[in-house]
Amino acid sequence: MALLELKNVRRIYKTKNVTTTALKEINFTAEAGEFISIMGESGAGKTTLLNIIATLDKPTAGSVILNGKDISNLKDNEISQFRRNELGFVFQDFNLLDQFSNRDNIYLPLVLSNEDESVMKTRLDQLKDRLGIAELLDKYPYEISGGQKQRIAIARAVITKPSLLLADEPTGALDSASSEMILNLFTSINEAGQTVLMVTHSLRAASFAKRVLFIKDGIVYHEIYRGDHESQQDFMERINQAQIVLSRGKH
Amino acid sequence: MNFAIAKKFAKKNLKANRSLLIPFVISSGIMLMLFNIMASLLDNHYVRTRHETLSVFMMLGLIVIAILAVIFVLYSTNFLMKRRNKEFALYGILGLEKKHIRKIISLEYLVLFTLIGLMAVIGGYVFGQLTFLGVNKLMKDVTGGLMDFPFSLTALLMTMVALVVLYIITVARSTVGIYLSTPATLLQKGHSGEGEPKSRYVLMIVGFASLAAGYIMALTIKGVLSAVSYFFIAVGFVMLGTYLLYISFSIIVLKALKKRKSYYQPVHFLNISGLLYRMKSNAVALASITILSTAVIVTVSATAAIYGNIQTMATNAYPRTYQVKFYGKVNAENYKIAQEKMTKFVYNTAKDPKHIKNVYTAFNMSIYCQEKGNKFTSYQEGARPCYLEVTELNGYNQFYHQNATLKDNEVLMNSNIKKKLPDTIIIKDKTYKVKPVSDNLLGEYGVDAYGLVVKDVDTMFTISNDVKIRQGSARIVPEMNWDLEGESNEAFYAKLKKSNHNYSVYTRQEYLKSVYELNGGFLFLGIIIGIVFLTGTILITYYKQMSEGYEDRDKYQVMKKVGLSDRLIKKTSSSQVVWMFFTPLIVASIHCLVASKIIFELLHMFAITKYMQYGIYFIAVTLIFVIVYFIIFKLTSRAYYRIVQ
Repeated sequence: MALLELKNVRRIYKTKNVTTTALKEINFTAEAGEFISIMGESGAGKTTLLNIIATLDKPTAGSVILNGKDISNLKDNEISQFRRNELGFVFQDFNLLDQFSNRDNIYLPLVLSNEDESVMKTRLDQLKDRLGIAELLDKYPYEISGGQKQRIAIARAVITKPSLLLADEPTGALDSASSEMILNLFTSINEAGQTVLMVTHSLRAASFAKRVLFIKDGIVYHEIYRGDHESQQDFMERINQAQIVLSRGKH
Repeated sequence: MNFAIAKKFAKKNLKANRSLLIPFVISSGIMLMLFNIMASLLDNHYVRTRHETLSVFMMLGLIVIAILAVIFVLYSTNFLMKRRNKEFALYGILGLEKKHIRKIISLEYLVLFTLIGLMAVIGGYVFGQLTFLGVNKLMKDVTGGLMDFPFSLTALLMTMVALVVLYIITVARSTVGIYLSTPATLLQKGHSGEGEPKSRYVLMIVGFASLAAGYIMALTIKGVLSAVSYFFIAVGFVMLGTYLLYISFSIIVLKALKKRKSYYQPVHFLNISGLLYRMKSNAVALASITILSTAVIVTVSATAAIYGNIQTMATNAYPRTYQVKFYGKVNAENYKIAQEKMTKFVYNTAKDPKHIKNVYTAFNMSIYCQEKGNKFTSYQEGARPCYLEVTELNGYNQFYHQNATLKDNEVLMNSNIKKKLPDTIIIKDKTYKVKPVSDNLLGEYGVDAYGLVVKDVDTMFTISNDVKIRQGSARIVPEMNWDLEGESNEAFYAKLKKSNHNYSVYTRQEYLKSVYELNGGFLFLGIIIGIVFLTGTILITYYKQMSEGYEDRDKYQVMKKVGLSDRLIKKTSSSQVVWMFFTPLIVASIHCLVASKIIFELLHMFAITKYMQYGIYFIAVTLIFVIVYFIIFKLTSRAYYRIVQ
């Protein structure tokens, strides 16, 4: 059974006079352990799609099934708990809370789930060296750099051992060195078994994934897999080609 | 950059930021308006002529308001600047030099402070007049004639000076901040955290010491005179201590809470970190609210007590509606004749002798003598005088509706000096056994004195012969007191006054009128000052809630994304708001409770001699204030939730 399955997902925004179709009909499935990039130009519907999977938004029609559960119809009081237990988020602008130390920022979702302090500590101990955050824990978010913030945010996202890790342009606000570091981190997290779904429009970022979905005009237009022995450079070249073809198709 | 361009920029900015600037102008305007009103009150006729201590106390009120106004304006410009950093950064990026930005900022604040000044001066005058009119109307019978709200040139000048100083500080602070940073750092400042507040133990110790000093002073001072002079010092210490402790102690406590094991529970976790985060910027506002609340309760309860006590004073001075006194010569031989004559006179004044009710005769005598241990002897020139108020048992029993009895060598005794009365006293060479009583035999005696009740008039003559004053023997004054029923009081009084010049005539009504003239103004001023302080409290509370609302809005968005339920957000935010709300109230109540001791000492000036005479008003005013404060809280937190959601 697929970990995540989207069936005929449609999202229409209505204001008084204007009706915008952000997602026309999205269908795809993700297996456990995959690392998927979703690419598309601005306005293609990437963020809407991610928001729907993240339960931050609801589809107008269609269903989103995670672990066999239709999450598009969750009740409001179930959503928060579901988000904490099943999903991990990494945002472009980090969304760390200045009022908490970095350690407490990471603990936040576990605290909210009433987890024991010893459990939190053990889990963080397992993570901190891998993420290179051991020295940052007692500092505050406003005292560290963007790349460091994103590593804290990743720790916060994975400490709950979510079924699915969602990332929205995680390198969008970072310089290239930090971006490289963050993307490598995603790769290693994925190799450890974590399913990752990342929205990006950066070729470089997308090439770290094992599969790339292209979204255009509200549908999944195309997808390519990275070959087993294909180098990252070659994969990036293929993504680039696909993108050029797609944008030509516009005219 | 020439002036015209700077003007254009400033104009545009003021327009663009009006949602931020209008509350700033209004609230700062009100704060300075309150300052202006307080300063104007110093020129009020009553304040200047009633008693020198009154103007000293008014000055204290003015200083408190001035300190709070400065703190408030600095606090709100801080908030303003933080929100506008991004804008200034953009100017830098777009190629404006720093001096140009400074020009624009000074121009903007010039406009804002002119508006604030206009509000303070015109608004202050109008608001002052209106409040005076209103309060005059409500209390015209009891405040002793109309009070005027003066247009005070001194107040105007003081307000202007305060305004200019605040303007200079504000512009300097804004521009220094910009000079010291690059556009990039400015951009950061707009949304960067303030840094975890440090535990400042030195400040905490100084704060506790200062608070303790103030408290000890308030609790140990005895006597009116030292109370007046120490009151100001105590207020200063307590204010300083309050500010320092809010800044330091609150943070130290919260940090300690953070170290506890229970910290990692959802509600604690969010609460403690949230409080800690905002404590740094809010400690000052909380301290200000505390001080203003204390000021409201202290002022209103003290003045209400003075006012409420007027009735008690009147019954103390005049146990019956009418009184006549005979100041002629009376001696041991003829006092009974004098008494009979008086009785006849009194009964003749009424249309029908049956109209005279509750009549009784009493004899009084005031002696100053020399006190040595429990021995009282004739006064010697140059020595410190000790005052004795002597009356006889019959008068005492009638006055207090008692049935006390005394043997030949016994006296009832009471004193306004706080020390244990001796078991016996010796007057010249005769020993009297003392039976202490709690009745205030001295009325509104301003100086330290003893009240004595002796068995009969003959004993009074014995004492007046035993203890000589400068003029020889002290004079014994017979008096008659009675009520009237069955005929018009006015006509009776007029007739009584005309009928015989041997007697001095007094009525409780006349007395009340004179006391209201003298002391009624206190209630008036108390209410006015109470309104001033209360407005300040509301203002700061409102401003604090608003600024917190803006800060919290983004935070809650993030928390929601990370999986916080709306319910938990609401729960923690409301419990934080409750904390921020009740802390000032609790601290203010403690301050007031301690202050009530020294206030009580001060109220001796107004013949309030038992703590509960003041205590009742203190409790009532505190309870009313709690209710008012709760309403303020409900209204302002509604504004807060509107912003957050």
